[in-house]
Amino acid sequence: MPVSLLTMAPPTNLSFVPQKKAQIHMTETIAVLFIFFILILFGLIFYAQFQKSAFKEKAEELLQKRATETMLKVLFLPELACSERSLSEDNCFELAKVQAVVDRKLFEGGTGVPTEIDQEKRDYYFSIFSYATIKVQQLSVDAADENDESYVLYDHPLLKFTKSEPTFFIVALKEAPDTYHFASLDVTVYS
Amino acid sequence: MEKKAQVEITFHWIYVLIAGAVILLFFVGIVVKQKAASEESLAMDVVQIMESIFTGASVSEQTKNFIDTSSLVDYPLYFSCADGITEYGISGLASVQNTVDTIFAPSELQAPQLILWSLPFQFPFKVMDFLFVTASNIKYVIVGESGGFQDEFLDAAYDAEERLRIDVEEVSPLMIDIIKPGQAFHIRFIFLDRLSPQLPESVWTLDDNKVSAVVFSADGRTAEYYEKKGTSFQKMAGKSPVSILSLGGERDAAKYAAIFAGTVEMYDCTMQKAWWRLSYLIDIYREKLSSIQEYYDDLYASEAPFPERDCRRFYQEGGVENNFAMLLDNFQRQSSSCRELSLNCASLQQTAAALEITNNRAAGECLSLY
Repeated sequence: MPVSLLTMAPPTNLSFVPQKKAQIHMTETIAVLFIFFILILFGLIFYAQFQKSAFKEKAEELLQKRATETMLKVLFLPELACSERSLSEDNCFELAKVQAVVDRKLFEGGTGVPTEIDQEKRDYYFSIFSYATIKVQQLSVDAADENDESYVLYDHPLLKFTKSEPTFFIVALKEAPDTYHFASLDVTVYS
Repeated sequence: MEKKAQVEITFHWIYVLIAGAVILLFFVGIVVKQKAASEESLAMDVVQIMESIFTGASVSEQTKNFIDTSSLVDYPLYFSCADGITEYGISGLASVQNTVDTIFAPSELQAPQLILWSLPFQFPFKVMDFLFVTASNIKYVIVGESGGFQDEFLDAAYDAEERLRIDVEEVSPLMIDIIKPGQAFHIRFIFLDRLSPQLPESVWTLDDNKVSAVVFSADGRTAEYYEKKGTSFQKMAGKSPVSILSLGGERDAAKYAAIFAGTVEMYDCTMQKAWWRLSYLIDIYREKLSSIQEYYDDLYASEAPFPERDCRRFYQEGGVENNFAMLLDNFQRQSSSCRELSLNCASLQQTAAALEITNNRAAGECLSLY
């Protein structure tokens, strides 16, 4: 019996349509999950970048804190501070002590062949100052005077430092018996 | 078909539940880890801030400072010293180690407020500042009398500002039972004049680690540490008695340190740091002595050596009996010996006293060494 193509009903395969629907639904779910995890990844990357800049800020803050602490420790070091019959003078260094520290490199374990005690002394002052440079620059009131002495008390910079933080303070430099000079205390810490 | 649909729906929800639980667990895991990390970070921050405050407090001598620790009142702070290393921090979270600073504190503190007190240790010149750490809830009870020390300590501990006031009470040995522990976290009894340490009934019910005692000898040169064991005191483990090497006088830092140190070990270990620092300072003063000698050699260049009024007699060998050159040499030798064995440190005391006398004599007419 001839069959008209126009009137021919479309193929009705009842099991085919639900399968296709399920596959589409599953693909949708997978796509949603995929996008979800992509978003989480973006969130993590953003958080990591934020933490990176927060760490950098914190490192700078710690370096500034260390600079201030080191300056404070140097200002009140009994090895340098002026004292007269057990009464100490604030913001004052004795020139004799400063020269002793510089000439004998007392903060750096001494001159010459280092002994065990010298190494101990070096480690001791390193645990106080860490990586730093400490200088006392004598200042003269007369600008024409070029005899401004510079004393390097401690010089232990970090070999490949990324940051340095200098701090300055004005101190009095007492020369026996009763002469005072102005001096600048320069403390630079490294990280 | 219906059954297939039912299974499919059921499986669909099971799948949702499992996936949901996994995602939830993932986020809960992040939150828990982050909480632990934040706690550790906070503890580290607090300990670092304490370190800065301790640095500042220790250089401002003869001053008291306080730290507000009310946010950490649930966390005990610990202090210890062993092998020349002081360690302090929050138990199990963060700590700091320090080989230089001399900190005398109880072994454990848990208080809304810490009190920091710095006193210079002179031997005979300033060696370093001792930092005493205590708290508003630690009670000190002085029992007995010893040449006015109890009045001096009471006066020193008192402060016009209430939050800097150390809780110190004075009682006679016969009235010791009137002591009320109150809300004290720890009670430290200070027995003067070698009195036997008696434990008052009012503290029998406290935990053993909440009560301790330090007993000073009659001359104040030695001290013994005791801890509570039930209803009596027992000597603490460790080397006992400890020697208190100092030149006496008011606000004797070494003696006060014995009151604030939690244990024998803390006192001995921290004092050892002071002796190390002394040995490095002696080098500085020897160099200073050389420059003073040069100064006077130039000054008296044309005069005969050691005339009656010549200041050089104080600084050079062959001058006065206890001249600086001889004393500093002895001091150096004794200091080296003290570093090897702490029992040898006692010899430093006599030399320090002699240096003080010579310095006072020299200061009247010549340059003083310190």
